[in-house]
Amino acid sequence: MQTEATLAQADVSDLDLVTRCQAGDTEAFDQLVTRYRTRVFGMIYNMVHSEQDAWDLAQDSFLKAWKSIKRFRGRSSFYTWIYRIVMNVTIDWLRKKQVKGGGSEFDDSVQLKHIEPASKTVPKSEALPHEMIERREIRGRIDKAIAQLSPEQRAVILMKEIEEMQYHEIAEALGCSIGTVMSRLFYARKKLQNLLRDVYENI
Amino acid sequence: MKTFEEKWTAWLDGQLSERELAEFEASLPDRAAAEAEKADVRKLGVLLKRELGVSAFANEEFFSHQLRERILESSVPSAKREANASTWWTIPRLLWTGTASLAVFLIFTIFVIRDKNPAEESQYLTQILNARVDPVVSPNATVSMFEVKQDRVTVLWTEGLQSLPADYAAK
Amino acid sequence: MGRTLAFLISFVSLIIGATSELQGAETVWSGLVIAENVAQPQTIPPELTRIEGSLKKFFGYNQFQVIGQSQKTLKTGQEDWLATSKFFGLHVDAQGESAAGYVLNLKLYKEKELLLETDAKLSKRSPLVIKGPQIGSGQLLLVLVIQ
Repeated sequence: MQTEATLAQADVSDLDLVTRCQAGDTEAFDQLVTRYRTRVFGMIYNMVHSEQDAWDLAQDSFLKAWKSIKRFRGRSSFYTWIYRIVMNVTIDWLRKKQVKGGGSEFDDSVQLKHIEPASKTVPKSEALPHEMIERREIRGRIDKAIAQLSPEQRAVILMKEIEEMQYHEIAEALGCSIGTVMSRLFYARKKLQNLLRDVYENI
Repeated sequence: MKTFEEKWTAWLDGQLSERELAEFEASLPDRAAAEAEKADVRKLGVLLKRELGVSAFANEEFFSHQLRERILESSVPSAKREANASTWWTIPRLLWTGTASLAVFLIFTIFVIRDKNPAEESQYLTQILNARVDPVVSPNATVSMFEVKQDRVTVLWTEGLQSLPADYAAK
Repeated sequence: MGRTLAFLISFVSLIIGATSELQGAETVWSGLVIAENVAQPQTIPPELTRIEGSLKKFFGYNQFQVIGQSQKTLKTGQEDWLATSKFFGLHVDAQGESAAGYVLNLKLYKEKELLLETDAKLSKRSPLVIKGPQIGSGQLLLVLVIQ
């Protein structure tokens, strides 16, 4: 697991920093934020596909974490604990924004609402070198495919495949059972396999 | 007892015990097809990791800075009471009071304050409360403020921002 | 109780209806402007006519062209909006009214990079001009005006 902490700070464990936070040390919290902000932002961005929203949700998540830091008992890692908060905040937000279809795991009618800028002028896309266009297209396909998953399925697939979390860590972050995590993974993978087969087949 | 979905997922991720693995693989009707699908899922994982694993997070330091400010603001004692305390204010009472207050406020606004639109014919000049330039992006930038009283224009003057080519003037 | 509540709601609705005619919401114009010196300057955009003299005198340019703009009517004073050009975005977040005007948080982005952030109280008849980066031989200016 990569951390952004400086060499001097890397020796200080998350638990030590949390203990200091619980005593009101905002600098200690600052260090924790520095360690996890990129991963938290990245995770949220992959869920919501909007940098501005990901920024705001990441801020909200860390603020919530600060406010509830005294409730952290050390039963899980800080990393899992913060992910729990991140997931609650993000999934709540997604649920409010999404147009819901049926309740099944394969929820084809689920779409992300696109927030358009208020301006009359909208940036036009620029001509890019060939490979950058291709990468953007692939990224676009992946984003679109992930957007078709329910928020909970998105969360499990991203935590498993990108964050490489264990089942029990994902279960703890989402507040569900390990069986539910595995079941959601099953359906999320099936769906993504159907939608992205032509993309990953050439890997 | 694990469902098929759980066993399948665990098998894909190599999370079955020796005994479970033997049982599961023996139960597969078409082992070759299953292995092919396993390979597919691995490729999917590689694709997702490659494309989604690196997120551009512009302005990390500003993120922390903004968060610090929010934390400082939130530490100002709030006037909220304990949520668990019992209260005379039931929902119907709140609705009544809210509606009545709104009516009173609107009457007051129309007949008393109507002429005092906050920005109408204001004698105030626009004020700059604070300004910040990202020190990582523009380490040498400075900010100052001027007022052109004749036209009542307030100018926030920056120096040291990175110069850009003419292409950036595109609409 | 039901009849009284219905009466109160009708009364409030009438007042709201009347109020909306009496009190118009303010509109804020936000513009991304390229200022430069050219041999044959174009006519200044109408939104900048009132401050043309100040712009020319203060910045030393003879042409001002709008490359991105947005007009937002503030009803609650808590709206936020974006004025964009191809490479720049000006995010404006209105955070309420005061006697001195509207409190705004402004962020200037160059693509994904935040170049500048400022908090200001924008007053009517007191435009705000922010000097942005040099672009080619010209200058990016951000202009906000309550119309």
